Amino acid sequence: MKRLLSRILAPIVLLLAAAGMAVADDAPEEVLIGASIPKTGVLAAFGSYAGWGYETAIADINAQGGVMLSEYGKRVPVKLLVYDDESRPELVSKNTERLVIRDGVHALLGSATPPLVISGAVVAEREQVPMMAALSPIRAFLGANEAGWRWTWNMFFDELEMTQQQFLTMNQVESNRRVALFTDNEQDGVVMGALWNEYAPQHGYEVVYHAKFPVGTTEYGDLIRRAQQAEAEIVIAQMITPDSIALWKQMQALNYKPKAAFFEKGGEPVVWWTILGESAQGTMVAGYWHPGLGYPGGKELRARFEEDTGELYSQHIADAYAAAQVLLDGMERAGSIDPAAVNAAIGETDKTYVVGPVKFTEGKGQRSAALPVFMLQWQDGDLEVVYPEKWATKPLIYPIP
Amino acid sequence: MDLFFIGAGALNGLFLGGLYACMALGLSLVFGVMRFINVAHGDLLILAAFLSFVCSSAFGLHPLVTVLVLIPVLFALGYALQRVLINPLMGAGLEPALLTAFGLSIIAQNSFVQIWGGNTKSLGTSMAESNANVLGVDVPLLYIVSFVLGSVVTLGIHLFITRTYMGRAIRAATQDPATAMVMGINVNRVYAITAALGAATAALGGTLIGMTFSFTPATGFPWLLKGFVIVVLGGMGSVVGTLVGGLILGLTEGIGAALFGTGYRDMVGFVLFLLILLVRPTGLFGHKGSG
Repeated sequence: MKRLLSRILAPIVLLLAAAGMAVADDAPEEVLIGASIPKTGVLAAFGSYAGWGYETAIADINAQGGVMLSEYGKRVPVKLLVYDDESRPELVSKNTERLVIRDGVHALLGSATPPLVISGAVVAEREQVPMMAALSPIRAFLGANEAGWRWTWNMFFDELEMTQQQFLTMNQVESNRRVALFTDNEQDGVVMGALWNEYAPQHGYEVVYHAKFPVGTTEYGDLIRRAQQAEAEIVIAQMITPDSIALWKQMQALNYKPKAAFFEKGGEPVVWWTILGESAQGTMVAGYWHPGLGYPGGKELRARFEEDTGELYSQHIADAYAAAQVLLDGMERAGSIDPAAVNAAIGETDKTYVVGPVKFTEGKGQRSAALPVFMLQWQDGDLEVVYPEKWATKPLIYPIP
Repeated sequence: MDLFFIGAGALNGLFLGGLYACMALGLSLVFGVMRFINVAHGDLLILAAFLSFVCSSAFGLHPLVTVLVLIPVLFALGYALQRVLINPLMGAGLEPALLTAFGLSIIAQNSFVQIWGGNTKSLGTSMAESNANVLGVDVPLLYIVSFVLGSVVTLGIHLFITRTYMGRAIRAATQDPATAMVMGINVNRVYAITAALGAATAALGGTLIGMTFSFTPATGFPWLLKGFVIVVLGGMGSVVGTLVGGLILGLTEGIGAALFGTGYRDMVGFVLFLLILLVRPTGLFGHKGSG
């Protein structure tokens, strides 16, 4: 009987082992993930955070042996290929094509800000490679492709929710409720400028002046004088960091001292504080992440970033890190690197990451997950949550000293 | 139309024009003497801004004080680059020198990224947030400082060119290099000193840019474009014309912004540039061989 069994079982075991080996042999040596990010140029600050977040998430999964692909029954190491897009949309397209066509990446991670993210997403759609993006407000992202995205996923804040935060924060204090808007001509500047105009009256505020200008503007004297003459006590700006710094410096120089100033996008990277110093005290920027919110690994992620770089953290490290995790989790769920399978698996994401809860909206081409938002304020070189009260880490400083 | 905004824009622009002139002076000098467009001039400005940043961070110096250190450093750099890289190519027409300058520009930008990173920087000074009241209009103090320094440096260079032996040699080399050589003028040395002077003026121009605005490794190119507009406006190669060109561009931009909106500042400047080229191709103060 024993002999009979061994005669029957041995070939089966051998066959299974051979099949297993064949499967393992078919496995790729590494999973390639590509990203074009602004390492240089006006958006370099965002690129440095995105790059750190992507690299750290991939280093973390490689520390476990790589991404688990059930199709091959093993973990496969992940390699990240990053090219600098110099903050130029046309270079994002070129880099993304190079990553897909020449380097043969299996999936992509996004750049930063709508013009760059969308430029990469267009290539991802054409080449049918899944792309996980962050750092691009959701309405600007969705508005760029009315037919709907099929291969690109985005995880960031919703401009509608974000553009309420300035008014909700101001409702906590006394002001003349007169608002001056400064918005550039980037996609998110256009979208958010329109939303502030639309929602200000509903919150009891009046937009008394709206300055619109191209990205890269250096001289704001005329616009500042008009806001000053309109007696706006509240300034809300949506512009890139170098332009925001120029605007704030010139406001100080022209003796325009609003009681509250919100610098969306531009006022968030740490260079805002390192360049402006004390004059940035009390300026605000809406946020979607703070290490003290209690999401898993938040405090540790901040500590790792600050230890690695010697710089103050930015919320962008969390969404970049989480974006890479969402992509890798999608691959693990798909169990393969097949683009369609990975794309479908990303859509099933429903988990709380370090950046917060991530679940993509349903509906054709939506492909986006909105993160909860709140108001941050620069206080003594650190960003503190000042609204809503349930999340506040420090009381609001008002008016700006 | 509110006249206050037009007047304020004009005043603002006029003072800012001093910075423009100072920034474009090196470009004008090199073009005037060698007929060579130094496309790396914007990067020299940004190099000066970065070096000033290093000096002020490391030694706690005011950015304007760092200019005293930067002037000899950039003078030496400009001299060496011209002597070693550009002069040997001058006999082969302007294209090889132009391509070399392009190459230097790319090398410079990549080096800035490697050394100082890609992030935005600015030269911190309380002056950047102060103002002075001129004719009832608040004007950023830095614009006024830039106006004064830009005017002084431009007039100083003008006096150097018109009143000194080296200045006369520069003018001779500008008008007829072959004859100047026959007369015993070392044209290669004159070219190197001109490039060195141009780079030295970039020390001040770059520092003022860094104090007034912000800068990144890639910021040199927009300043190069603006500088080129100023050089053409004032008259290619005319030092005094560069000052006037800078002031006119600042003034036009300031009034243009008040009339049509800040988004049209640059467009107004470029329209003026095209008009001047159309009506007076040599620029306002330019004539063949001007220096």
